[in-house]
Amino acid sequence: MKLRIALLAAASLLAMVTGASAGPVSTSATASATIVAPTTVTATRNLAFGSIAKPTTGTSTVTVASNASATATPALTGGGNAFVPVAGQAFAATFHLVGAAAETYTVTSSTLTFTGQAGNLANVGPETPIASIGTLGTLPGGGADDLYIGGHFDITSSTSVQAYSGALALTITFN
Amino acid sequence: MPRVAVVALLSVLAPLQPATAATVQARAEASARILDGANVRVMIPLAMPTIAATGAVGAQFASSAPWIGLGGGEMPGKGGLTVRPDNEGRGALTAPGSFTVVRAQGAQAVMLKTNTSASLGVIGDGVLLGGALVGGAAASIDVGSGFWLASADAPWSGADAQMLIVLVQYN
Repeated sequence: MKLRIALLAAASLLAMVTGASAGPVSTSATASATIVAPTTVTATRNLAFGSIAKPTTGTSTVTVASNASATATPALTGGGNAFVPVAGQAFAATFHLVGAAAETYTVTSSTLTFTGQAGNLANVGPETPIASIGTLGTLPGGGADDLYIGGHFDITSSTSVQAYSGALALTITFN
Repeated sequence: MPRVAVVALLSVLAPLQPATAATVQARAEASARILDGANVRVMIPLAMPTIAATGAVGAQFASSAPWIGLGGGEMPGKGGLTVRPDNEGRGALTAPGSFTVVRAQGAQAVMLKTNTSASLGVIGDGVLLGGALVGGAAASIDVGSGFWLASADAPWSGADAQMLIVLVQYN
């Protein structure tokens, strides 16, 4: 449709400049434009693992799932005997995406890092994102969506007892 | 004039060109707090007093070191401590006289229970002590036990063996 309009407009313009030999003539063409919001992604909630009591033996994998819950409890897997002293302190990060309705996008990269993780936290990484509405990779009709992203890491008895802070970086490519 | 026509044509077609892919980035903060697990450490084993039987009925208790889970050292986990006699048959019973409960972080309460089975004969079954750890991250709790002595209508003699289970529970 836009192409047809454009060609009509072009033809109209060409007609104007190639000129009739007689008096001035005029015509008009319909112009259209759709204004969309600029594609953006904004972090609206941080990623929190809460408190974890480290294992005295073995290795425990701590995982915060990618979901909307604001009172989640990390899952502990592996052969270690770590435990979560107080449940409900964890939550996944939330990223707010804004674009056009039905616009497709790709999660180009997501990385999770903690300061001082070397020698303390192993296999640090993000979980697979989950879209709040619809399907991951396509914005819903409203043109905006939330992505929930959790994370995971391994701890052992040698993990230093301290508060770790870091960053979860997300890169989105809108197609 | 033809130059004007070409410029106008390009201006009309320009919006029809596909938009280039836009890449956007954002960062969220991440946090995690790693703690030491709460531990229960047996400090001083309690030797139950010897009770001398009188007459033909009664019982006698002797002191001996208790068998304590995990060799009596620190026990990782949610502060659970189990004390059992050192043999399965009849024999002497001892229990820890006190232990230290180490708090892993703030706002934790401690609850001391014994086994709820009346057959174990611990006086005050159920919650003996509950509430917040007052005055710091550790508190010592004394633990004792009681025993039924044989009666005239149920005479029995010899050494007795019972089980004392102490459970410290963080809420």
